[in-house]
Amino acid sequence: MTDTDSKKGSLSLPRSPLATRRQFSRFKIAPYLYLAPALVLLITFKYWPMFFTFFLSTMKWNFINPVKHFIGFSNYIELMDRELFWTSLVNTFRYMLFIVPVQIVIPLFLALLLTHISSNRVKPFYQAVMFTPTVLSFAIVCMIWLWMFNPSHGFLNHFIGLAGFEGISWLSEKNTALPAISMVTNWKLLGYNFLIFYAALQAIPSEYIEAAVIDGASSGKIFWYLKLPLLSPTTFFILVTTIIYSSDRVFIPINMLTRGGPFYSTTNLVFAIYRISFQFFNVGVASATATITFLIFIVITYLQIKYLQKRVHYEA
Amino acid sequence: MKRKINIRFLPTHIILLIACVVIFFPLLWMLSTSFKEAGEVFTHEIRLIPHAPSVVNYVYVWKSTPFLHWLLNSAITAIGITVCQIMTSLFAAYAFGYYDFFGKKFLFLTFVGSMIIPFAVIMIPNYIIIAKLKLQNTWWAVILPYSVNGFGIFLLRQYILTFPKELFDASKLDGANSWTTLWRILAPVIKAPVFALSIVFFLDAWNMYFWPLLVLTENTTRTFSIGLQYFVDFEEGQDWGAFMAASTMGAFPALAAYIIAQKQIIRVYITSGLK
Repeated sequence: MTDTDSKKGSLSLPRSPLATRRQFSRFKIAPYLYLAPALVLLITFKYWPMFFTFFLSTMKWNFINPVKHFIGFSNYIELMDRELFWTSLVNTFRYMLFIVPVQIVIPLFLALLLTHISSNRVKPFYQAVMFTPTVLSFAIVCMIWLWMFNPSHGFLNHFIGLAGFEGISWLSEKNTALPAISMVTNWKLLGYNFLIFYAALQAIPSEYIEAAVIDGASSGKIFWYLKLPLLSPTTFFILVTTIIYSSDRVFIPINMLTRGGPFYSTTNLVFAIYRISFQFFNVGVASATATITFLIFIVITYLQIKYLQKRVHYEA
Repeated sequence: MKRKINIRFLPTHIILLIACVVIFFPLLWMLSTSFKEAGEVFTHEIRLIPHAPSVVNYVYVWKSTPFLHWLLNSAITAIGITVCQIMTSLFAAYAFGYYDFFGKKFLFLTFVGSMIIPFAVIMIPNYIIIAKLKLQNTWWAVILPYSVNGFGIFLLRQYILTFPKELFDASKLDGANSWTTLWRILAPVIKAPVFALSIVFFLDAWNMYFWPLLVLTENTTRTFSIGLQYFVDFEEGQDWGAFMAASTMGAFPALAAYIIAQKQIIRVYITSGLK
């Protein structure tokens, strides 16, 4: 395969033996040289750590002690006994439940509304405003919402007070803290998904829709039987990226708004790994948690690969 | 006729406007609070425009925090990460687009596959590496683990593959080696996607939180996001006028860039999402 490809380009051209040899020798080393920087860094900071995490999960260690003790799968057994692990596992899925459906339904709905607007002057305005949180740093977003959520002087409780309701201590109550963090994450992510959906809707050839209108299809039917199926690759992309976002990036609001509390009610797996390793210094148990988290992510990866394959067929 | 259409779309506009208010109001509230004096911050009154606007909070933040250090650290690490990611991506993508070689498919999957490794899974070993190299509290601590980006390799390879192979061959016939071809032939045409990708990389790096939190532990070495967090802890979470002033100043560079290059940035994110 290597040879046929290189010959194809210069089939009609006579080549001197010297040129062929020079090209051949360069063929061997050069691509690896170009790959080397990326490959070395990738192995050092991504792949080797992956295996090392698994190695550490069978050890008893606290970062400082020069000696690591091999203890087999004891860390995993200890983990299964801890309430923290089960709570954070359940919370990881609760975050997904509070974030993923919202991130599909609302952005898609708003994007559909935007396609109905004919004025080209207002459209960029809506897009620009909605997209703003995407470019803001998540730490700043968290600061703003920490202030909005402030129980005694925050805007939300003032606002609720106007309607005659009692203020809520959003972040310090077990029932409201996790939904509140999900809400901040939703606020941050909404504009991005809205824009992706809108772009995908714009990419649907207008002839399809016109044909359906001529055939007398209602707008509801056009949506269910035409737009939604055509959007499926985009929906899938958003689904996968949002699942990862809601389990990985949500670390930032967890650490900034609640520190995983009250009573671990907002701790997810990623935050648990952070706490067990960098606050309790139990590297073994933290690595075991990380390994289990990774296994969960492999399921998501599997979906992603399926999605990529689908894309390839779609484009071919 | 035109009026009629407008009225028909009134509910649509109302819903979209409500969404815009929900998105934009918290930002205005941040700005408003930052210009209020303590007495006005802690009232039960909702006022967007302060009674007596004052910059006292800004002055306080400026005096009590190494704010310029934070911004500088954020900027340098973000630029460093962007440059490293672009260079490693460009070289690797060039190898995948220009050459055929043994193990090509496997290596490509290795790169693209790295995108789905969650940071939390590799964070402890990364921390150990940085600690062993004694790099904590340096820019390199933040940059090094983030100097490769599988997505960049994937996207740039896509562009290089659409590039006509004849031009590569012609350049080869002219006696140019692959290095010259990369800079003379490929670089000029790949400038636009590289620039676009740089914006996405830069904003991502600028917004980094988790990793700098672990490796930057001194007040003057922190990046902005981490500094903000410690400022809040230090003030025991009470001085909201100052916190909002700090947030406003931190948000300013990104918002300014967004206002200037809004259309380009939006387009970049669309293409990166759809690819």
